[in-house]
Amino acid sequence: MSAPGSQEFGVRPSLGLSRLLSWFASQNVLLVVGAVIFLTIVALALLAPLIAPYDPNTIDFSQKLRAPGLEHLLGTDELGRDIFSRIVYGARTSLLIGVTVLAFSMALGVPIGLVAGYFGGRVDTVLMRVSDVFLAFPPLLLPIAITAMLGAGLFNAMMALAISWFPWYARIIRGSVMGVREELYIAAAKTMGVSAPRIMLRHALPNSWTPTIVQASMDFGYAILAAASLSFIGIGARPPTIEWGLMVAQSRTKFLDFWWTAACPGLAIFLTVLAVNLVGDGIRDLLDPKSRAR
Amino acid sequence: MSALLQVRDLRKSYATRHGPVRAVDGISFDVEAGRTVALVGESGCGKSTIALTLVRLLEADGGEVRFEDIRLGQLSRRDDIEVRRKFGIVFQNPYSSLDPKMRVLEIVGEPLRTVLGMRGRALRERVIMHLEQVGLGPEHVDRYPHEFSGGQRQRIAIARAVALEPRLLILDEPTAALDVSIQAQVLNLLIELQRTLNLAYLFISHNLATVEYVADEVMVMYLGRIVEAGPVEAVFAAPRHPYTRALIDSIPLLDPSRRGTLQPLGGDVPSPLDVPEGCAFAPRCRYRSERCTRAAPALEETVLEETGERRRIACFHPLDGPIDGGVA
Amino acid sequence: MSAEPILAIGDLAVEFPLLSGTVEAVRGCSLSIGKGEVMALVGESGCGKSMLALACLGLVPKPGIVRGSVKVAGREVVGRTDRELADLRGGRAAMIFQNPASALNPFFTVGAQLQEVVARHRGLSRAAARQAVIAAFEDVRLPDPKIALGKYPHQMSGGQLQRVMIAMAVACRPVLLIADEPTTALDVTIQAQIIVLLRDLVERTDLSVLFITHDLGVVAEFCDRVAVMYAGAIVERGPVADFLEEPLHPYARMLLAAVPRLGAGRARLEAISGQVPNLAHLPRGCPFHPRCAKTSDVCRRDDPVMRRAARGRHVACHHALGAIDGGVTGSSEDAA
Repeated sequence: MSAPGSQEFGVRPSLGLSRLLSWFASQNVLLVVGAVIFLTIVALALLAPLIAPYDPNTIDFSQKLRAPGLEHLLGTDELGRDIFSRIVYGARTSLLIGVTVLAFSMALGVPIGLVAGYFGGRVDTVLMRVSDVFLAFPPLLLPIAITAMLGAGLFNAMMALAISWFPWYARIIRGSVMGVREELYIAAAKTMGVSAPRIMLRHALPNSWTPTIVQASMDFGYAILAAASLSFIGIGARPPTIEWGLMVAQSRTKFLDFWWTAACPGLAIFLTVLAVNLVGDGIRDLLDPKSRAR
Repeated sequence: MSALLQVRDLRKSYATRHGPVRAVDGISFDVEAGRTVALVGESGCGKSTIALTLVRLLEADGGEVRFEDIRLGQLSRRDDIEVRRKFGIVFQNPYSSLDPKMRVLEIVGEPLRTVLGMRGRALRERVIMHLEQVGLGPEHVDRYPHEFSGGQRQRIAIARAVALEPRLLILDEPTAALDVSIQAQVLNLLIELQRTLNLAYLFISHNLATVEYVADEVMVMYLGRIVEAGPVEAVFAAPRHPYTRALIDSIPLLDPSRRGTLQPLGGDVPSPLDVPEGCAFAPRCRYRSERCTRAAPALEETVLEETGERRRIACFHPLDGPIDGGVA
Repeated sequence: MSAEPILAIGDLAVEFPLLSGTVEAVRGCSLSIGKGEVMALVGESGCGKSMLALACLGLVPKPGIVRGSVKVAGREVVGRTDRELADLRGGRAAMIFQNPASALNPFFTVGAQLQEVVARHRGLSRAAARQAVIAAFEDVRLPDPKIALGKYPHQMSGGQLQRVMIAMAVACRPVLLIADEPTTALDVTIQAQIIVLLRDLVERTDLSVLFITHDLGVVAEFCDRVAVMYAGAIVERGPVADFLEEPLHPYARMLLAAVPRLGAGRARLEAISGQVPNLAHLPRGCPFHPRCAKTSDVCRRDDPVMRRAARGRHVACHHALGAIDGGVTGSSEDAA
């Protein structure tokens, strides 16, 4: 028996968008920086054909290993390809990786966590033990093993990452659902004879996916980094795919004398992951202010 | 003509680490069509468990429930749902009984959609009709729960409960979480709805004054059992069971000339884990005797000579006569 | 009031500048409580009573801004830092809340928690503090005080925990107790026990109490004077007996008519239509006017000021002063 209306404080009008944005910007300079960088990268990816000065695949030995300059903004690699253009096209790949890995991870993890959290008991135990098996592997070992089985290539690498990551999402949503299932609106739905799948999809899921979204926004950057790492060791993207990690790998033998061949793609990876993490922090602060780090 | 809802010897226990807890221990009562029966008691008495058992959110361990003379629990799942839609439930907490991510249209429409398969315009019109019955309007249909106050949310919950046109509503402390001035609004609405929709109510509450306002009959519960039952005004004016008397004596009156007449009952509300031998109330009872600790008194119906009313009492030493000076 | 009031609130205001607008939780409230007096602060949710209580101990959370004056036993509280207030809190003034379980740390025994408070404020040694705690438990009639020392909060019932919280509050002999709905979450029979206990404490130690509640029955039983709040302001103030016999403010009158009373049978309750206003968007004029039966033009235009209506009674309403005492207008606020 709580005090009547104790949750109300009388402040309920909806917020205007511009006011929200300006308040948001004032809270967090880093967030704004991150958002700007991220949006730039998205723009590069979307407008690649318009922005890239050269065709990224054109080989021209006469231009090989040129230092950054007016003709080639970030120089050329050992096959004479313009690095700036390759980075711009590489942005497409990286964003695609982030989205694909997360989509498959969540597609696998969310249903498992939802069912486990909602039903509890034996169903929960079985599902969680199965996904725990995948959790037990060190982060990159499982993807390496899977791509070794399936063969190298960007697509297989992304699937491998999704398979090794889904248990996190399963756990997160399971935790939220276990909290939500005690709410009275779930009980009310049961009394009306609403079926369990419908309760899970219509009631439990919308009320428990916030922590999952927060996690996903932070994982976006990790996905890109992980894929780049896999490409670097040769089991991720392969030529002629343009991927930043692959570019770093390809410059392995040359970069000591020709620093830009490694530094530029490396910097691109760094800035993208940084930007995505800053934006992810901001999303987390917006959706779940209680977890703000001090 | 038999009563709308007939409950006989309902039992429900929970298994806990410390042993079994008998939350509901042999409850029997009837609810007639169009009448209001109230269940009162303090925490741990089992009144909410009864509500949850009736709507099958919990499964009873024993006893029989008949609705419109059809025995529940014996039917196929489909028929069971058919019958169960004839009674609705309104929960105590209007802040958590409505899905915050759904609009009012979807919330009130859910039973119509699930059980009657209604969709689209027909659904919308029917939802508006029920919203108007509870004093809301078509402009509220596309809003979210957080845009409403506690009282309005409870109205939405009531609209949802009457959407399938049930004959009985179970109301589990429907006004406990609301402000005083809003409680009166909702109580008056419930009384009005009872009249216009010919509803029977099973009204669960810990607030005796509220119960007196809405109910026809009352059952007082203590540790899973009914200790006294009868017409509400008579029971409160002239209680026979010492616990009922103690409950009434514990309520502070709005009359400053009666200041200092509060007589608190000693001891704590007992834990259902630790039910004493014999009469469960004996340890706190002023009138107890040897007999009370040896055996638990059965709930027996008697006819009171003075008034001719039927009263059920579970006590070896029932009180007689009204409280001194009556309750004012 | 001959002696100095234990609690003197003068024109207190608390506001919260939020994203969606400024919320005025408390607007220009004044009241005073004398020694051994129990004052009820009555209102519904969102009226600001809890915020007013917090302001008395300087506990208003950020980003709240507090203006005005609150004097506890003569010392000003508004504008003081936490360090300056450390002596006051738990020492001269104490507060108890609605949910005792959330005020106690689940990881420590209740004995240990009380010992800490007592030792800090009364500068006692461990052994002496332990004795003081047992004495405090006896004061609040907690069964088996020595055994209770070693119990954890989850091992005790709601009523027992509330007694522990009261013990914690009075162990350091405060002069002022602020009680924020301490019995709302308790069962009826336990509530009666706690009220009798509190009254006993007041009579024995001359304790002053600011008792926040929405339950008018408890007000009648336990309190000497009452202040009714609506939308952040006090709308009526006076002795309980007079108030219950004839409330002056329309809101107070409607509130009393909306409460079901035992023994009144089916006499119809008059519900108040509408709901409490949004504190960030108060209507112009009197905040109650949209729901009031007696609204007139002046009500829509001017927010009424608290004025003396009779001996010891004050009300903030354009219409309430007509019949009482010939309507003593023009005399400004005297906090009595």
